[in-house]
Amino acid sequence: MSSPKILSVDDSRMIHTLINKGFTPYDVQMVFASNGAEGLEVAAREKPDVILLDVTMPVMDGVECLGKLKADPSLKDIPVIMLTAEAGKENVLKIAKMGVRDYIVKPFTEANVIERVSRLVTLKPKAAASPAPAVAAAAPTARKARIATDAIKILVVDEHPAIAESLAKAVSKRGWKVTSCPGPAEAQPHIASTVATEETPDIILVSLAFPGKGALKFYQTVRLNPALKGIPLVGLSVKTATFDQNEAKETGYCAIFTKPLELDEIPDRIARAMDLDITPLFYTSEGDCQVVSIPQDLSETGSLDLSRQSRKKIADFVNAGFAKLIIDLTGVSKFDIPLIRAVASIISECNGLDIKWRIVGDSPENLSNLPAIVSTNLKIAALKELNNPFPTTAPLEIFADRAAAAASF
Amino acid sequence: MPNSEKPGSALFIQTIDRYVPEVMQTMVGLSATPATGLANYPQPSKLEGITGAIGLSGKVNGVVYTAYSDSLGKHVAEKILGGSAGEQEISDVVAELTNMITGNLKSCLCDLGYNCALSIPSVMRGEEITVSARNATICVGNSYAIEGSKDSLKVLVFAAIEN
Repeated sequence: MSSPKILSVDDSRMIHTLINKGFTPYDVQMVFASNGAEGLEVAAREKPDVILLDVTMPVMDGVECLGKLKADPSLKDIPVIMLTAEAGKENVLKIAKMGVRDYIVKPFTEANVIERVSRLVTLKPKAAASPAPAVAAAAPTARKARIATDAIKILVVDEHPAIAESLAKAVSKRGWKVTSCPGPAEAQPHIASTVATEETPDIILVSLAFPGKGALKFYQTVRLNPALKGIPLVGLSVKTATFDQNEAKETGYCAIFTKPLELDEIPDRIARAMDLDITPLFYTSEGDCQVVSIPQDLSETGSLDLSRQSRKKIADFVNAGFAKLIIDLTGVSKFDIPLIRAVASIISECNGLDIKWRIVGDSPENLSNLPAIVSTNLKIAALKELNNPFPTTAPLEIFADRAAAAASF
Repeated sequence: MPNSEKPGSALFIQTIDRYVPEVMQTMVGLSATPATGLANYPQPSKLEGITGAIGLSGKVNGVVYTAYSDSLGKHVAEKILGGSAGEQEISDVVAELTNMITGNLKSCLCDLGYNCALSIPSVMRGEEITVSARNATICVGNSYAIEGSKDSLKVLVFAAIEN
């Protein structure tokens, strides 16, 4: 398979230089254009896999260029990421409606651009691409973004088998697979045997209690292997071992899970450590409506990440031409903090983007009080960042099922 | 629809004090420490070295200037590009950084209901660049100490808000 081609359309050579520098470690073909008109020409000639498009440019600006790209049957399917300093709500909405795939606000970091592009194409490290394609294929340095419904493989390195067992149980409902090793000495050959295979772990959870700084040495060994470079490592530690925790963070462990493990939170904490898109767990399409189903047992971590990731998800609806969202709370009988945050932030996002919403549930007498509940809980620290999406505390209409909700739009 | 409260000098100062350090830190990797912003910046004002300028037109009409000494412009451009920078590269960096600061200011104004369009950035060089805006009701500016340079970056905004 040929390397992905990325077209950068910007009138600033500084931006071209920074983007080119950012992608240097990856096996990609970069092409450049200095305004919208030139961008159209280059896009037609080169047929890039992704276009990074500035807004304010001479000759033809990014908005006009985007319109022409989307009107051309041979170019309309190329995903476009806008890269602009103009991030006002109105501007974002206008551009989102034109079919832009993503939006990066300047100032930006190279890592941010790479991360967004890697959601659309698989980026392989350059060094590994030609001499050892198998290794490159396994290298997760910047591969296509994973989602929470993927079959995630978790390696647990812990001297206590009960830890791996309880983790396996906690993640089983997501369909994720746990394998375990009792220590670094066993884990190293195990990982080496999985390189360039389907069995390479996606995340490794390591006890920090191994003697002789075993967890830190293990981290360094894993990082020395370029094919394993992008795998997140998480430390497992008792709450009181703060010295070990700090040392692990300084070494590069991306998160610490303290024991006893809060098993209800574990799947979402693993998803966060892997930067997984969790929205496919909650969102589906039904006719001309999008549906988000939120369960009563939504975890605190899940609530925070669902609220954060819903911003992009709902903006994507606009791009895809959807304007209706059904919030399905079947099985929900009371609002706790994670639920209030998730539901209110999703409604707030819909309001901002002019998406109509309806709530479905089987406990209408409790659910209809959401505006009053939000209003009284806004001062709680956990909700202090929440925008109240309700103008009054009047009860909401709750629909008995999705069909009734869809018919009411 | 514009919000009932018109953006005042304090909002412009707060906005540039937020975005100048953010742009410098994120794009250049240098800290930019603001001095105390002036709400009645004297005009006409004299700038020297390299000045980036971007016009705002719409419900807000005006100009944003960012002024670098020659050595500061070179320092910033070389840091961002990772190698030696000639006159053209320095101008390009100054233009783009001005664009980022002004774009973020524009976004704040638009979210308040004061929609405006940005011009393409222009870059001027000279010993005595005089800037003023006769009808401006907003004349604000601030200086930012840039890490690794004895010179400060000056950012001025002269603007009139439509009623």
